Amino acid sequence: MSGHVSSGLAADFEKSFSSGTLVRAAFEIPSDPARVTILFGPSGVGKTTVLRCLAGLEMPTRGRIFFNGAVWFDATKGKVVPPQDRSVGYLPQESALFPHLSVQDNVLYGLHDMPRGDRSRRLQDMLDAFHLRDFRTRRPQELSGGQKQRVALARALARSPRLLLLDEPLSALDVPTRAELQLEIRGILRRFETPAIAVTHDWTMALSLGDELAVLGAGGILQTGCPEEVFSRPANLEVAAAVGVETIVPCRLEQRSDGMVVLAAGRHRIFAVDNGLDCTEFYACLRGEDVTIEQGPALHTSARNHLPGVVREVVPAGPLRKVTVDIDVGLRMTALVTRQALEDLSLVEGAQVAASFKASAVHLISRA
Amino acid sequence: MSVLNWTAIALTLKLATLTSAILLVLGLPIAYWITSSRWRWKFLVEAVVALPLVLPPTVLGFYILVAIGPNAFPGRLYERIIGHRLPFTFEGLLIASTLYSLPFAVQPFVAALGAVDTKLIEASWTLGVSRIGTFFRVILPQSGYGVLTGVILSFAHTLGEFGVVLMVGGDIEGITRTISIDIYDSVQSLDYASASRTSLVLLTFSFVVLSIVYALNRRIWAAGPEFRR
Repeated sequence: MSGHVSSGLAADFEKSFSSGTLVRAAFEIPSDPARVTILFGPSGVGKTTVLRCLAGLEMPTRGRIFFNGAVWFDATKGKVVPPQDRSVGYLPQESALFPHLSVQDNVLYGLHDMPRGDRSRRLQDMLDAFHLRDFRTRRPQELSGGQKQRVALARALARSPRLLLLDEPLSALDVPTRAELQLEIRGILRRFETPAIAVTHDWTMALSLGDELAVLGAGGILQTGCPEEVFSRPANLEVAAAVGVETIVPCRLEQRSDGMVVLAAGRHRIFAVDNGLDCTEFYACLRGEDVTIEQGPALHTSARNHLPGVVREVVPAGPLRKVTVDIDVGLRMTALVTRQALEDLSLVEGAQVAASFKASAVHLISRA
Repeated sequence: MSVLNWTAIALTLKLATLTSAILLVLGLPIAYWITSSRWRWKFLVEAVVALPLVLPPTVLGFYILVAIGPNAFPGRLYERIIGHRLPFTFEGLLIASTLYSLPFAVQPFVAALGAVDTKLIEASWTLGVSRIGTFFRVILPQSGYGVLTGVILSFAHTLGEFGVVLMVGGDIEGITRTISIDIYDSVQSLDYASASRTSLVLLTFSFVVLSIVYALNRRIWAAGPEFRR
């Protein structure tokens, strides 16, 4: 971190645990209203720890955190701003509603320093915005998972926090509720104009909720950018693995011309768009949704790759099916296909097929 | 045949009520500190709080007697401020009872406060509520039964104390003669009938109090469904 930005969040810190685990994070996030930054990464990499350090619930071992130019944490100066004074909204994985208070008392909880009239107006606004009017007198125990998260979000946003921190807010919910609430959260954050950082390992949530994505790995933040960009163009192998790129093929440069490259993967050739990497050893990365399965003769062109192979495995992946095709020894490709396509192509294990993908869908990472 | 010594019963009830009230005020901050502190030597404080559980009451009583006596600093300080000495007075007895019953209040408090979900406490902090505010608005309401258990146990324990009372308070009618001392006196003077009646009062009372404690912990009067993590 070169300095600290006057508007937004600037963090560069480490937290070491007595178990030997070390969590590192360094990033800057401009505090545009309603901007959602996704902190993405596999389980156990320390996403929650990063969020808790930002909320002030955990103290980093080293480093600094600034928000809008003010120090939240500075290890060298021994300065720690307590969570009460950071004005952040924090939503843990489980909603953490106060069980002894009704829905409306939960929403009112953080408004103790507001004049009475403003408080009740704010309460009405929140109950309306989150469709909680009919549940206002209920206790948290009497609510569904989705309703609980709505109350928790209403409670956090009621105080108009400067930053909202969401820790896997939808992970405890069933799939339909999750999809519904995902859209709702997006709309609510826009409406309340609250910048947010959301931790998740669910890429559908990352894509639908995030304006920006930061991938967290063991060494810290590995890559930041627009979610689609990071998912389809991971900067290195670790990011590719973290964002769940299904097919990663080691290959070697054979030819480079007219913005295209020809790569050798075993005895097969792969055509790809040249991304200008100055090296000869690559990993070719392909997302499952960019690979289609075809039957019949393989028409290999420079615009579209067709690699013949044998279906090895078909497994469900949410509403889709994940089809793994063995192309060659050590060369395996994965495609995500619809159930309908699976039936139309009568894809069963052992079927002779071709894995097809555009040259532009291949993302190259240097192996150097 | 003598009747029940109502003076002793009233004195004992007064002592027990005041002791549990003091322990509520004194014990809660101690218990909160024990549950929330990360100080590495915290176990020493926990051990000191638990000492009255294992020390013979006479040993504890002896030390308290010495400490509040005219030759020790606390005793001299008290005498200088208030104007009279502490040994063999009701105030002296109250101090001794408070120390003697300390673990009976603090340990249930610690168990109750420690059982409160940390996520709720943290949620309160991030909602801008101070540590003290969080204590009264989240922690205490969530640990009500445990706190009540501590109060009742310290009350009941004070009712039956003997050794410490005898060491610190002696046996002065209307000032320091509690039920248990009265029973001892009755037996010494071979008035078994009186001893038996007073003992029965103490036994019945203790049984009722303990029944209440266990019932509270089973939540038999809890309104509505209770989901505890």
